[in-house]
Amino acid sequence: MTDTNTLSKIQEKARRLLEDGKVEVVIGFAAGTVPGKSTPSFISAKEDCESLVWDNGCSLNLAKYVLKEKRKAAIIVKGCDSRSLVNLITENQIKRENLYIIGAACPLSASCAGCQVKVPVIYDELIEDGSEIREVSTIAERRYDDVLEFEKLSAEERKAYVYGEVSKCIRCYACRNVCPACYCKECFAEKSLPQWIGKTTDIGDNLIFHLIRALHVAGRCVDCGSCQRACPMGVNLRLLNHKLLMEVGSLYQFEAGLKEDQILPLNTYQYDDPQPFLAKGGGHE
Amino acid sequence: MTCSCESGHNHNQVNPYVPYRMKIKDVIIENPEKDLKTFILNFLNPEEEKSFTYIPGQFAEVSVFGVGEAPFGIASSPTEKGVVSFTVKKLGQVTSSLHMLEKGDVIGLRGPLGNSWPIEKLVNKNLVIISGGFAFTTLRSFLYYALDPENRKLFKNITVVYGARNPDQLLYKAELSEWSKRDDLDLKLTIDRGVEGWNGIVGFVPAVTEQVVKEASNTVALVCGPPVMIKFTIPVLKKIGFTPDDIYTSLEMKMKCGIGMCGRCNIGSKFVCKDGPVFSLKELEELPAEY
Amino acid sequence: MIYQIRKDDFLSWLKKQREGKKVLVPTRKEEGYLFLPWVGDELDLREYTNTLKPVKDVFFPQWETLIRYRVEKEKSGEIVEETSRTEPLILFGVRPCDAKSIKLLDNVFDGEKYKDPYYCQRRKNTLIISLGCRELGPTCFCQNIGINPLSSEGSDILLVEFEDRYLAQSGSDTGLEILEQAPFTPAESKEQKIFDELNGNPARLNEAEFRSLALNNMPDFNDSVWEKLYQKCLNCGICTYLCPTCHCFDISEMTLDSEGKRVRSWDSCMYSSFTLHGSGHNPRPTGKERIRQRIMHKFNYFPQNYGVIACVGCGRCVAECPVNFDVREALKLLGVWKDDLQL
Repeated sequence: MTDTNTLSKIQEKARRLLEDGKVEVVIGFAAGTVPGKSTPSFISAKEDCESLVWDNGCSLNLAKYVLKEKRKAAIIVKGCDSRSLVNLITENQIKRENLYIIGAACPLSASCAGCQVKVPVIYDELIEDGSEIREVSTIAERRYDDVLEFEKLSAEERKAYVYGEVSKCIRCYACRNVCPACYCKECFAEKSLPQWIGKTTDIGDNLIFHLIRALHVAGRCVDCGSCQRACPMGVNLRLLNHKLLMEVGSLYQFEAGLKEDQILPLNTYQYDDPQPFLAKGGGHE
Repeated sequence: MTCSCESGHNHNQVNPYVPYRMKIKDVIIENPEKDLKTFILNFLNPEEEKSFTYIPGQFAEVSVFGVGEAPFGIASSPTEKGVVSFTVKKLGQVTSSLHMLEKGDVIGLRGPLGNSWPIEKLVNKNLVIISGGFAFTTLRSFLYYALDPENRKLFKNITVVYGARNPDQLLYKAELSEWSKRDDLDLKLTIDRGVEGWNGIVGFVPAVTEQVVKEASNTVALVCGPPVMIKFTIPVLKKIGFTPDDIYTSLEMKMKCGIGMCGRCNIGSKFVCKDGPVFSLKELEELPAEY
Repeated sequence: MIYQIRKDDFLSWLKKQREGKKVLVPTRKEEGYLFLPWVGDELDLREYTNTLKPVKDVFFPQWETLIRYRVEKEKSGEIVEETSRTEPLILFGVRPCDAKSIKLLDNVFDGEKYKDPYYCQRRKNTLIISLGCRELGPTCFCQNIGINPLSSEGSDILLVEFEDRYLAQSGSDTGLEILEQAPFTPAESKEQKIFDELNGNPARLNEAEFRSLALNNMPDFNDSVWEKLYQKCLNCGICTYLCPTCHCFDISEMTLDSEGKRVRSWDSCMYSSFTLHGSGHNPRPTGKERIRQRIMHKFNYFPQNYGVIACVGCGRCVAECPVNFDVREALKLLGVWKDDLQL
């Protein structure tokens, strides 16, 4: 949905922030060189704000760039980007006060199935375009159709499917590198002392990589889909993400990145944490 | 194809990835922290020993089977028959595993690899050898080679400035003590800060170099040490009158294949494994400072 | 000399080759075309522009075992097996850009001093039949950097589709020997003319011209332009893994019970671990140095060492980059892309 009105408001806001010296750089999107792909853009001169776009190609989660940005920055976010920012703030990776957040409703014409957070949950200014703002606290019990379908398969079929998917992987780590929740300084996949997984694309190594990747973002994933879009080999990464979103939703009635005062359940120990994987559900006496 | 190593052919001619099998003859602990050890190795297959010829300054890929490979400068001299040795600082995965091995254990060796100290260029020259810490290894190889009765006459005056943080961190202490008695070698050992029991020179290598080395004519300098030592020694040498053509150093980079294919040890268009590790300062000045 | 063959005759000929050789053809998968063993009787080349993974995968696979050895104390390091790759192979449908990439890789793996036996064995045992491009894909840019999409360089045989036939040109002696026999026949002067006409739209820029730009006009190593370039790059390995000429690799060990394997696997200069020393020092600590390395390696260091640019314009890096880092734009910014050549 390219709404010229929304775009000109975004450009105007960006221009004003640079002009007033409130920020040194605006992180947004500019037109890309490949159809359907807009490209991250770092604008530091106000006259360049005209190159900003807000269209169907703006699918990448820009929150990733805040992690390495050292300048005082503004960032233009859609719903999922804003949720990643909430996570990064609550995980003490970035400081809210160092960031100016320009929010706008997700411009993707084919949005992610079941997405209920198209409008940012956190912003300094929201570019209003008449999109409905939902009460976000009600979505924790979300069901994912792909998981529900997958769960109907036999164990053999599920194994065959997962093996088939991860065997396509070429271990380029694009899924990890585009993911705002993946910010470990040293990733297990490349650790050498000790080495956690082999460097081959043998099914064993690939499987371990994908399972650990998914588990590491469990309870933190905002289902932005950047990982899957980045994957050149078409690995269905979101299936595992969705499964874990459902698990975290049903165990903790929680979905990440919705509230600035969130307590991430898998980052926090509570005496009465559900532990269904323990004998007798790990009940506390 | 089953390997025919029992029949004694030299693998390296055929397949540069197949290592020689080496038996650890001895392990010498070089410092009280025990994180510097010298491994003295024998060839398991005597036939392979004959085909292994090297020049001081070259390196080899040493492997702990089941753990991995890493490159080390060869610390022994070609004039020491029957052994190849390496001095290894415990740092990463391979070096830590190496440090757990003992006499009798078998490790792998691929090499010799890379170029060497420019021996031909050094003939009939005065030599200034400058080193710091555990980077002394391939210079020790060269010194041992140059001090061989057959070779000593090839070179004129040899001055050595070798420094370490403290006396304990100097490598090859027994040998240094022998060498200090020789009158055909001017050996200057120095430590960074004075300690009790040390009667020698105190001071950083560049400063000591400035005091000791007075003459650059007909002289070549071989420098090998930590980056900061090299950084401050080069200007001193230039001040004394050395040209970039007469200063040589040996570089360290992360390496895997050692034969110019795997692509990680390049500095500009040069591969440290294939075109180095020894470069003249002149060559280095033409390369980007990315090392 | 141009030869020709009817398409169905070629199909029968290729089918017959399966008797003694493995035949890999572009095979349509959900994610894109991949070179896979040919099963069935038909070739499905609808919408085939190029394979998702480059053809280097066949000669320099993503990972392979170099040696197997024993790890028990008394037998430690005893070589159990050096793997050899002697299976005869035919590759059909390689695009000229990818065929050229193999010629480039020969410089690295089949060098004067060192030869990579695994790569060389596969090269020796593989026949490359390429399929010239009558139309270019949306991110192809071979012609902009001096590569002819109908070139036979690097192929044993080049085929060019024409109506119900393939026009064929040899790129090697082995290829010529095959073309001189049935079912291939020498083309008539008419077809010869058609081939020349098709070939009349070769590279828009001479390769030497581009190489000289890349060698001489590249900004200084410390120029601020490199700062600008790397900002959006997230340092994943897509561009390097899908690049037909990128050839960096890692060597690591895998051990199971009493047997160890020394394994070679693709590695990428985009990863920080690529150059990280054991001491913790990293000569290429940030994305800036790594992007600079990638571009300089392809367009400056490689031609310095081997006299030829290490990019064939296949456009995979452009098509697949998740943040749309476009190497053509980068070259333009660096001043080595000729301005009159539009993106």
